[in-house]
Amino acid sequence: MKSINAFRLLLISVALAAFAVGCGVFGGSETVKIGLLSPQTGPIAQYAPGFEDAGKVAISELNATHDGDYKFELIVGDSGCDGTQAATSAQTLIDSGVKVIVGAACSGATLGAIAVAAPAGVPMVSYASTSPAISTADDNGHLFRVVPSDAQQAVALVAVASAAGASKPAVLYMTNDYGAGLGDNFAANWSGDVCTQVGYDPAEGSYNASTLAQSVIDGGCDSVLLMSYATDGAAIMEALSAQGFNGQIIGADGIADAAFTESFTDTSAVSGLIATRPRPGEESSAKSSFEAAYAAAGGADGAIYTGETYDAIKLAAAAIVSDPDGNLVNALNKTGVNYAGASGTHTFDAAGDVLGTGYEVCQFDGTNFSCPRIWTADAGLATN
Amino acid sequence: MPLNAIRHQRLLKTPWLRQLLFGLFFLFDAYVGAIYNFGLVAGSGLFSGQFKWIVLSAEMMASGLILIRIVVNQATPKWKTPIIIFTPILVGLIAFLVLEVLISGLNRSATINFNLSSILLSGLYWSAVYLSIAIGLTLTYKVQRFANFAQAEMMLVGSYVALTLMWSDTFFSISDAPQDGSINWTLLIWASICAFIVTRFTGLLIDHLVFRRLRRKMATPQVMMIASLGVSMVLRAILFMRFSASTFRFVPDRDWRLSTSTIDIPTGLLNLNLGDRVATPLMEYSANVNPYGFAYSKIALVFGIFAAIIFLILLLQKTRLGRQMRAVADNPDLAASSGIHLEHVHRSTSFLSAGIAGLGGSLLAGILPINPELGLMLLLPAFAVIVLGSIGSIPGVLIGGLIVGLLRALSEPVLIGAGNSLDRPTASGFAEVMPFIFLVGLLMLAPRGIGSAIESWNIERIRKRRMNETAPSFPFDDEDLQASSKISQESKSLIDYFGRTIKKIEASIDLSKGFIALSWNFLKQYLDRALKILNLLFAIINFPFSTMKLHTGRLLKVKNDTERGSWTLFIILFLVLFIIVLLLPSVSALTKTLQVARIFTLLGIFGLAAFSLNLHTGITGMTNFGVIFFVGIGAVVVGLLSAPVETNGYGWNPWVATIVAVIIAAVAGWLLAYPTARLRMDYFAILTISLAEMLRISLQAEPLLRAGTVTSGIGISQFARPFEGWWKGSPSETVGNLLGLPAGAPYVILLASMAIIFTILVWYLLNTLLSSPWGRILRSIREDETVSQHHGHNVLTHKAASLALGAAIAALAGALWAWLNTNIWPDFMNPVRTTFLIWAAYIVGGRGNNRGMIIGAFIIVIVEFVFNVMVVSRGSASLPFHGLTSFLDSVFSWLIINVGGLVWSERSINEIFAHGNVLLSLPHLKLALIGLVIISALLMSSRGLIPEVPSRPKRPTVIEDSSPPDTYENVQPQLQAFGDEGK
Repeated sequence: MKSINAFRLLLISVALAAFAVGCGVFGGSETVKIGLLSPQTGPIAQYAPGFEDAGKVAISELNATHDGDYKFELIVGDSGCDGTQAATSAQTLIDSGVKVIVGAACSGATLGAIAVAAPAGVPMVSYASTSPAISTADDNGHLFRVVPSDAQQAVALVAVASAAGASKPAVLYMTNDYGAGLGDNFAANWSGDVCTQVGYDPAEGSYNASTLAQSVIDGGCDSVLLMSYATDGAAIMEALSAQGFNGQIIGADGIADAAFTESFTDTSAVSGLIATRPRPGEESSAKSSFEAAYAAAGGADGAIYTGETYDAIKLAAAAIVSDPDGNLVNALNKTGVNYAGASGTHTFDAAGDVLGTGYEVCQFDGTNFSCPRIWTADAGLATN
Repeated sequence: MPLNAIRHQRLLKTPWLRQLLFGLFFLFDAYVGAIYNFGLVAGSGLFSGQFKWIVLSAEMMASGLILIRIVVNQATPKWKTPIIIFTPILVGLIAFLVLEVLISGLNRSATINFNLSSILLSGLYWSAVYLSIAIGLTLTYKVQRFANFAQAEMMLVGSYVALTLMWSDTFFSISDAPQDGSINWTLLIWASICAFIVTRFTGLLIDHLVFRRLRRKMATPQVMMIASLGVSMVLRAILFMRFSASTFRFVPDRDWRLSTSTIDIPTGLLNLNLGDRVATPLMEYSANVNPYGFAYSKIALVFGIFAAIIFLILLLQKTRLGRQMRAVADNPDLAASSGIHLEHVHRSTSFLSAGIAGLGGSLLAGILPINPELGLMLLLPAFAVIVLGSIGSIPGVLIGGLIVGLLRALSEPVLIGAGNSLDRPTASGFAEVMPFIFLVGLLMLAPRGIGSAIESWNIERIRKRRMNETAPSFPFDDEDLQASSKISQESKSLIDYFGRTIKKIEASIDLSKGFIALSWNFLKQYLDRALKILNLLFAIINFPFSTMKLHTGRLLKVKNDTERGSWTLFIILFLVLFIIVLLLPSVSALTKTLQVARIFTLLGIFGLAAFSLNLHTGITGMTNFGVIFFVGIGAVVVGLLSAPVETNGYGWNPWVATIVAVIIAAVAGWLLAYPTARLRMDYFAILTISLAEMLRISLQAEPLLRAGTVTSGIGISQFARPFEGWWKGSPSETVGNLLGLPAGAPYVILLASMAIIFTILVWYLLNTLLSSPWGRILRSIREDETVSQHHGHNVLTHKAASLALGAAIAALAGALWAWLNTNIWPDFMNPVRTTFLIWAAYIVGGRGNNRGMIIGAFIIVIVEFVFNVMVVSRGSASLPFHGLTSFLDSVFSWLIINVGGLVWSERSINEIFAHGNVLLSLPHLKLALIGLVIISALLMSSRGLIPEVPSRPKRPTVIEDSSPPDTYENVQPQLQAFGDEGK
């Protein structure tokens, strides 16, 4: 027993030493901490590495630009894709002294976190929450987002589907706020017949891609609107191809990315897919330079909303730099006017939402990805 | 004899007739309601619009179930088993009838497309998926008598073994080979063998480290179950840390996974037209459809899993080990006394069940993209499978798996067709909970599951066979076959062949047993060393707890079996935890205040939920896994009723909404008691968790449960909160502005005070009630239901009252939760985040003791905050623990590259960690630490930190011991009270 007690004493002293080292306070006046709520655990944990990699790209660029004036630090908390957990993490981020929180991805997590952040006077910029509930949240002006609400993209998808000659489209969508929002809005805006609407839970093990494909074929549908993320989208497209479906498949920004092919085992199934995504600013090189930097930094494959994450962090940093000691909410509203980002040109409205500048219409020819057309609210479809 | 006959008549005949009348009446009422808009429900004006037809279809379904129940109960023993086995079909027919009447009543039409082969094969696929976890689960349940949550993670270990093998230098060339039109089997076979072996040893190791110790302490099944929950958290966290959250696919050979790698199976399309049929018939069949392509990977899974089941049945029936396992399952004491080494059998069981799960995992990895969350998605349906097949019966679980799989596949076209017709395209989301809905229905009809029906039928059959001695004892006996002249030559040779094959299988089992024994002895020495290191690790983790225990015990001489001692312990622990709260870092006074307010609000919510669980499970003895169901009812009702009218809400005052929510939850709890009265403990548990899952999926899929946005997006938001109107735009806000507080900050503190007040009020109420005679009745029900019935207590009514009270408390917690989050999303009911954590608080705190509930809830809340400080520390050198995380990163990197590198290839490291930059995932380290806190707390004291104070009558001689008089004043009034209760 004595040896065990001695061992315990040793452990206690080691732990105390570690604590003392950990608690040592360093840092200077120019350090700016930016919080990032990332869904590191929970149903969309697989996309967290992409968000964090995009965040790191933004921070390293910011530190290169503001070398000497500011030192930006990215503090990553786990949102868990859940309101309660995101709020607790937001509290920890605020306790660590962040000036602004970028996030969260899941709408429920964002709304849970803002209930903590707004009372503490810390603004939030979400990079992936598309629910309409974000616009109406009781946030005292503290909640912003750089993704447009789903309603507009649904209109763009209707135009794309009509142009592709779809007459009886099936709508397959995820039963989360993103998928259900797009799917419901598409069905509401589509003037003709919707062949069948099927919702599914995108978590692996809770949907069966071949049943979804079968429902499209048995319904006699001529095209498919697919509101999915990359992994489930690829599984469904492979199943459609395996069941001999050869109609048009149209997707949204969850899969409108050259890296979508990485999610396929059989890349022949991706050919012919048309997909929309928010359009970058007209003369902006932000998108291509971000993509190059993301690839160079070894960013995660099959990621989604990376451009939005990058934009949200850089926009927040620009607002902090523009008025270091003033009201950050006002600064964000001022900075967020025609801000040319990697995921589009962002202008915050009174609710902290962005309207976007239309959508790119991209397609896969074989595995070659290109975006030859654009869609805007005023002009409809046009060549890029 | 006449007395007996009269009793027989009174007990059986009369309720049966009454039930029949009720059933027929409600069926009729629902029918006229749906078609002619007339009757009790439709004509009363209580319900309108969508609510009306939801209530009507529920009424019709319920009356149909009552009628089936009468058939089941009244059937003679001879017919009972077949009827129970065919109830699924009857229930399905009633469901179709309900849909037909409903859609006709609404003057709509629905087309349901059944693609026959697709449904059959998808059904097989789903059964194989669920069975891969369920077999191991049922085997553990049979022998060790607890539900092992870690089985799902065991399956994933198998998947990741397959992936690691795929990335190894030897096999990567096979996986990465270009398409060549022929399939290479090497990698698939090696992967399944390795997965089988590695998971077996993992299972053994875990059994040795955790469950063996708990068995020695005679821990209850509930404690074992929560320990397995901790194990599953740790395992999942390790998988996350090593393999990240990304999804990976196991590709045994590129040709294997092409969309052309399928077997075409001819199929037919059966169209069912429900509702208004103008020119179309009820059923149409066309055989002229594209064949269904069944993927090779799915064929491998189905064959692998069913082969494993046959292997297992043979093992249980034909080998010595199997007989020993069955003996231990039947009667451990008798088995031990007849010379069976219990520990050996337990070890073999963990060994086997983990191995089968691993095999399933390796095959599943060939179909689904794998990530560490996958196990959780499959765990609950796997529970439904084992309950359906009567827990612990292998043939039962096989049938349960087939039923659940087919049901799932069959329900998807129905939900899609009917959902599109009823403006509910999201209805197909319900396919996920179909197993649960079905299970709830079936448990009402046959409370002991299908497996027990089959078993009793089997026993009957064997008894009959024994009675006429002429029947052969073993169907494949060669001499018997020769004697029987009726069997034709072909079938005889076929049976001969089967007989020989079975003998070969037996021989191979013997061989594999020899192999296992050999490899076991070989590995044992290495295992022993590994165990020593792990024991050391456990000692390290245990030390904060053991030191805490030592201090309180040594310095204060706390006797936790008296009221005073229990209070003292509570106050000490509470103060320790409170000091930890004060030590949590924060940047300013405002943020610190908000932090403490949040901790106390969460403590209130989890404390109230734990009170509810303690009342149900700790005091009354009903294992309730659906606390979150009642919490959810509270949150959803409060949110919906107080959301603005223009966004699908009802615009009520939040206090009125809260009272209504509490009443609705209480009624739900009361009603739940009656149909579940006959259920076994573990069936009640799975039933309650099923209800919670159904509510969660309804939040995703049911448009009526959405409010707060004009476009009716998922979630409930924008609801009014109590005192909010009073708090804002009033003097309080002016004061806040003067002090420079951001708007909303004072309300956070108000909410925390409300949470504290609610908790204290409920605690006082519960203490008063539980120290009254009613509390003693509840405890007596927990200890022995029969005795308490014998004393004249109406057990059912008391159970219902306990359920209702607990549900009401949980609903109050739900209301607080809704106000704290300001919105309600389906994810908040996630069983892993809520139900299991509340259970952990209950077990760690000390079941049966409300003081323990507060401590347990406090620990669960604080653990999150403390480890969060560590999670965020990597971002900046100025944060606490930054040095520690850097150190942990380097240790982790060394473990992965230098130690693990001996086993796995460089490629498998680079696939996960880009540029070889090996970093420890801190949120998952947090998950592992929470799991370890749960396991070590249970290993330290399986009764919890503040155990229940045994309430024993005070001895008249010991007067100076002054235990507080809230339980027993003295002997005389207690006897008086006891006498009164009997009336």
